[in-house]
Amino acid sequence: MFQSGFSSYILVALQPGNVLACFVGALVGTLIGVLPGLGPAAAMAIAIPLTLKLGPTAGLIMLAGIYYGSMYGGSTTSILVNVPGEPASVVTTLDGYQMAKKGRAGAALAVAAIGSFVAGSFSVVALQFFAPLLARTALAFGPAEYFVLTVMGIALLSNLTGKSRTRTLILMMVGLMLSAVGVDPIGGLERFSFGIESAQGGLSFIAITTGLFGIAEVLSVLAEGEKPMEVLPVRFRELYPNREEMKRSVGPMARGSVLGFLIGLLPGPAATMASFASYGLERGISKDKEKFGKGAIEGVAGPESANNAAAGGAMIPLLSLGLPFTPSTAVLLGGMLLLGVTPGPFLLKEHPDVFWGVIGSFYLGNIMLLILNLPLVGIFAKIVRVSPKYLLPVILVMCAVGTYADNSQLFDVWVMLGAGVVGYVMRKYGYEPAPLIVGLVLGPVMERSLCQMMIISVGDLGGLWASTLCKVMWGIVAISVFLPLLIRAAKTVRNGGGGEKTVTIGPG
Amino acid sequence: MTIRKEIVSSTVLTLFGLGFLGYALKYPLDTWACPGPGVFPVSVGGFLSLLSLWQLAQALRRRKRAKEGEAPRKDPVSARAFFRENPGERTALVLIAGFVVYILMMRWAGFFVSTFLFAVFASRLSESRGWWGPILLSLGIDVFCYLLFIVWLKLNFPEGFLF
Repeated sequence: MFQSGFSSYILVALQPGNVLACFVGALVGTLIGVLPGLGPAAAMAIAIPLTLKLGPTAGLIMLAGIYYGSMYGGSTTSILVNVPGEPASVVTTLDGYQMAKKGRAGAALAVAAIGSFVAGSFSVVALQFFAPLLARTALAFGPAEYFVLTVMGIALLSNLTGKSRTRTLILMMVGLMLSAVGVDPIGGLERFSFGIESAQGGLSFIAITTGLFGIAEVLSVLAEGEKPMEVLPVRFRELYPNREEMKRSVGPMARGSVLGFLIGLLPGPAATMASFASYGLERGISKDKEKFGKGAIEGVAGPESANNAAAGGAMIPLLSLGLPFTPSTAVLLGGMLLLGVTPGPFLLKEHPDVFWGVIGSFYLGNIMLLILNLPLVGIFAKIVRVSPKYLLPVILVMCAVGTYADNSQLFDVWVMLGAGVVGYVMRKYGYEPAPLIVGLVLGPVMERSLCQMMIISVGDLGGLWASTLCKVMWGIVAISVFLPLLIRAAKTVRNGGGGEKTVTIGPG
Repeated sequence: MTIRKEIVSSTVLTLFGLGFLGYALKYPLDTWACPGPGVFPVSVGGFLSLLSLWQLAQALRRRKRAKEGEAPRKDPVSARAFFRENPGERTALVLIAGFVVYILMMRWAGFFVSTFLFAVFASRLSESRGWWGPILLSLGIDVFCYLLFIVWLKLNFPEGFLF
């Protein structure tokens, strides 16, 4: 059933408009990955207003293209400049830049692109099989299950930033609060609008996302005074890894693909975790550990495959459960909602064309990205040298125009600026904006499903754990809350119950 | 993040949570069988206040523990000295002020004129020397926005005294 669905809807992805959307998304994503500073989440937020004109399928194909395209582009600056374009490519700097210094930049870039292609394709095949299995639970979902699902999402995503859980939960609560602005979903009473007419419909998702990611990033770049960087040269004819390098890359690519995909299913900064895990694995099983950090091709092939596979894996919880496990998928979820598509258990049933069209476009996008990233890598590398004086005004104006275009309201632009300033201050104080976006997205679903459940069960809270599905999800909540506490307690006991220990790295 | 920053941010978040909670209590809670519009905001506000208080308590405890080994406290720095030492922060602040003027200007100067002026300002602010580069860049941005949003997407933008 799913195969016939897929084969018929792959044609959706091959429609000229969708192919063009895929190409634009992949190209923009690569550029975003190449440019340090502006991340995929910010780029997707800025692009959302443009995608509204394209319709749900083409719009989401473009947004998804930006998402996985950035994973490809991120490796270019890691290898040529020793500065990762995005966090998932941090580990690539260790061996990629060393290879570039030895004159093997072309080989490193080619292996990174091929590894990304292999892993991207693998994750799409896995996504194609796994997502429908999860989506089959659709019929069992009522208001109670939806509410528990959002609680489970918040519990699992409390590790979204990989930093303090309390801080992440706090920001999720702030996101939930902001989602309460506007008319209440059941009674229709106006809340927290303070008499501002434009706020009665709620705060614009695009305004908040663009402000928190786009404007805040521009302010940070200005404050830090980042300068254009020196780039190591790379020529087209150098873009071929030799036979030995390819042979050594096959294993890391395969292992990185599987490992990355599995890590992509977990909440947290999956692509970054996957790249570090893959590097650790390759170094761990290598017979020649000393060569890592000095230009080992395995240190490029594994992590670059892993971060792309993780990007694909993270799409499974998003498409099948409506849970964004990474900052980028949180923005993608917001984009889907604005395009009239509610991801979750009912997505495959209600919008099969969107579901399969997007998955079909992943195949196409991966091929496009391979073509874009191999011969054009020299051009992308030059983009790193583009001065901020050209980039920043363009980003600022696109943020303002995109936000205004959503509802044609200047109020939204004020909200965007406010969110930008708050986002900038948040960064200064070590708070990541992603959990706030998750709260903002999950808030309306959480409130509506809670109220509906209470009305249906005539105020009986027992409805929240009546079904087996609810019980299972509460079990997952309990595990995600108590397991880290138990692990921490066990570590304290093992360390002799003493205070914090200092670890010294270095000789002696 | 330093302990001081954690204390400041936790205090601000606690006050924000309590303020939100207090305001949300104005909305009816109604009954369990028919929850009112205040239930969700009150729950979220309460939860935020508790989490922020917990974080504040943790930070205070850490400060107490670290107090003995702490470096001598620095004298408070004046705003002028801070901006002299951190010129980037001043640039960010100037950009925010410029953005405020840009939004205010949109109503009477129109979208395209104000966008042009703002883009020139932002470009000059981000280390651009000379005027021709920023002017050409801003004209390019205006033309791009016109083609994309007016011609293709057929959207309406605020019009001013010129167009």
